Amino acid sequence: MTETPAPVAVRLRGITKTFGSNTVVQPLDLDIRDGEFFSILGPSGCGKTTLMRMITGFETPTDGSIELDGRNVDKVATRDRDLNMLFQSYALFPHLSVYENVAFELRVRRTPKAELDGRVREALQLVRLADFAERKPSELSGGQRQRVALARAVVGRPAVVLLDEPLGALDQKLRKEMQFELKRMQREVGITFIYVTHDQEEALTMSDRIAVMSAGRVLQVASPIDIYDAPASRFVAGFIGSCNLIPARMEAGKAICSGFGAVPADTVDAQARGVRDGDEVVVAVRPERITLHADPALAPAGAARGVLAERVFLGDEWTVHVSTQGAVLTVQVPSGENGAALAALADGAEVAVSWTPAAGRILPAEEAAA
Amino acid sequence: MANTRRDSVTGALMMVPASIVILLLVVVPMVIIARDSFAISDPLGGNLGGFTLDNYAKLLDPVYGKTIGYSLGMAVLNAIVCTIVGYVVAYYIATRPARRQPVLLLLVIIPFLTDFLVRTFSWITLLGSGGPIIGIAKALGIPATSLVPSQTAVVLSLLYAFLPVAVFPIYASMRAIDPSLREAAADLGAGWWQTHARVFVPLSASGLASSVMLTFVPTLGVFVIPVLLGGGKDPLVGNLIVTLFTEFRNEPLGAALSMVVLVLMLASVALAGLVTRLVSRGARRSARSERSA
Repeated sequence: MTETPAPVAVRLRGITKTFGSNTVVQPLDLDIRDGEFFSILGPSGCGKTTLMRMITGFETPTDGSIELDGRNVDKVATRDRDLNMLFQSYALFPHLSVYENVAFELRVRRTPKAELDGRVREALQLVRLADFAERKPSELSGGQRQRVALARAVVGRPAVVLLDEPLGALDQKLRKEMQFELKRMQREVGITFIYVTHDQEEALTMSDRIAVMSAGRVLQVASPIDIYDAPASRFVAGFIGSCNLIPARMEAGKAICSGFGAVPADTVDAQARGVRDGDEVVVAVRPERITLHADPALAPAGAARGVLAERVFLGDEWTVHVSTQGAVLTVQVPSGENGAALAALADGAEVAVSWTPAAGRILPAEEAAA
Repeated sequence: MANTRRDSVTGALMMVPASIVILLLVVVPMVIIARDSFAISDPLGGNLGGFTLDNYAKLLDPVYGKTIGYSLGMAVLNAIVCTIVGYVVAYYIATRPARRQPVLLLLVIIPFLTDFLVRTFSWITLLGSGGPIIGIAKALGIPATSLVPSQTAVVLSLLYAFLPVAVFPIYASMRAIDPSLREAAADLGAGWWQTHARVFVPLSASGLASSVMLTFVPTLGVFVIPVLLGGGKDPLVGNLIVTLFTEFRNEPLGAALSMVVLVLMLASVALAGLVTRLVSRGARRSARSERSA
């Protein structure tokens, strides 16, 4: 085994899974670093759950190998892999108290009694359920059950904890709270978390890095900021946050759209990524990076003209659809002065929109096949 | 107010058919047998009525005690064997893909659709001197004659007769168990034995308890199997009661023995319930004291 500079908790090489003639996970490589909060994000059916189940050992990969902490675990059973899973349904043992649920692994592994009690108490403290030790899971709320499941997953101090859409069953408000809680707990215990979700907001708020999956492929692995600001493909741009995708064609180093002329975009970066003249592309622009000009006469040069099609007031901001010749653009306008000017306009009014070239990211129009 | 009264009247009316059935088929025969057990018999098989404790006094004869003891032992054995095998079968079925489960359950029921006597006779053929089991034993060079009549044959056919009764309640409680618990147990380091001992057995406890009761109680009343497969050498209480009614023509004595068996059944069921409760409470208490220590 060769030394690696950054310690890797989970290393996947050429991992593939096929069920019959259906390839659920295309051959993929992935390194998950020790101690990081790593999210696997993708729509349902993209293969993320299968990928996770292969890491836990519930599914056997059709091909490829898995290493945990530098050790190949291809032939190691789930129970001997140094990882725990937090199930979507929590999978708490209904006949055992909260205490016994958390103590389960330590009892199975015959931890000395003196040590066992201390560790169970510590885990319950971590999830702030020390006072609920004697309760049965049926006597707890959804959020509390989830915490018990988490305490149970970390009490054995595994190298890795895998979380399968753990917040899916919770209501909106609790979900937001738990996002912060999970992040805090992960930092406290310092265990690598692999978080599987289809919720891009969860992935963005909690992760150190995100792998975006679609149709069995990993499309991009990057920090949340890079995933958001520098999506590598059209799918990633559209899946994370909302994004305007303006179809264009590269001509003389510029993205030309029939309605717009030259679309403001970061052409230097695009060339660096190998976009060439004649390529069919899309220019991805985030709604909040677009400035709406209520009076088109005052708009800067290069602004596109359009018609106010629809607007929705969301409290802190407006979401506006502006119909330009090239495309219908979604624009976010913060409430306040600009918002007040917007409110004064009539539907169908002439407006203008503009953005800086840095805000426009040029992406290939077709998804590249991996 | 009027509404709740009408509801309670409706409720009472809806209970009437069930109550009539229970009254006619359970309470009335029971009362008749209880009454008969105190009646005076005449040697010609008549029931003279009246009141005597003679029938119960006769049952103190060690012959009866021996048979009752043997029957209880056999019933306990059969209940345990059926429940263990039933657990294995139920677990197997409950962990198959959902669409295959009905077929497997059907296979468990099919023997139930044939006549009890026919099923018992089939065991004579199976275990008898010309049967396949003896044939295989001979081919392997094991000296064997016939397994019928023998206690082994009785135990085997009792298991066969009562297995479906054991499988169903265990399967029902097994199905209510979240399948992800098995993965959770494996994920937390539990092997095959620990997964069953710590998760599946406790969670199917109610099914296991029903299985024990549903196999224990009727085994006491079985009378065909010991005669056909056991050669009648070791009769069960059921045989004895049949003999008392049909051969001795002594209805009151048979009724008295039936009452004794009934009381023993109820006592066993109560005892089993008590033991289960004490064990689970004890386990809970010891877990708690372990923790506070």
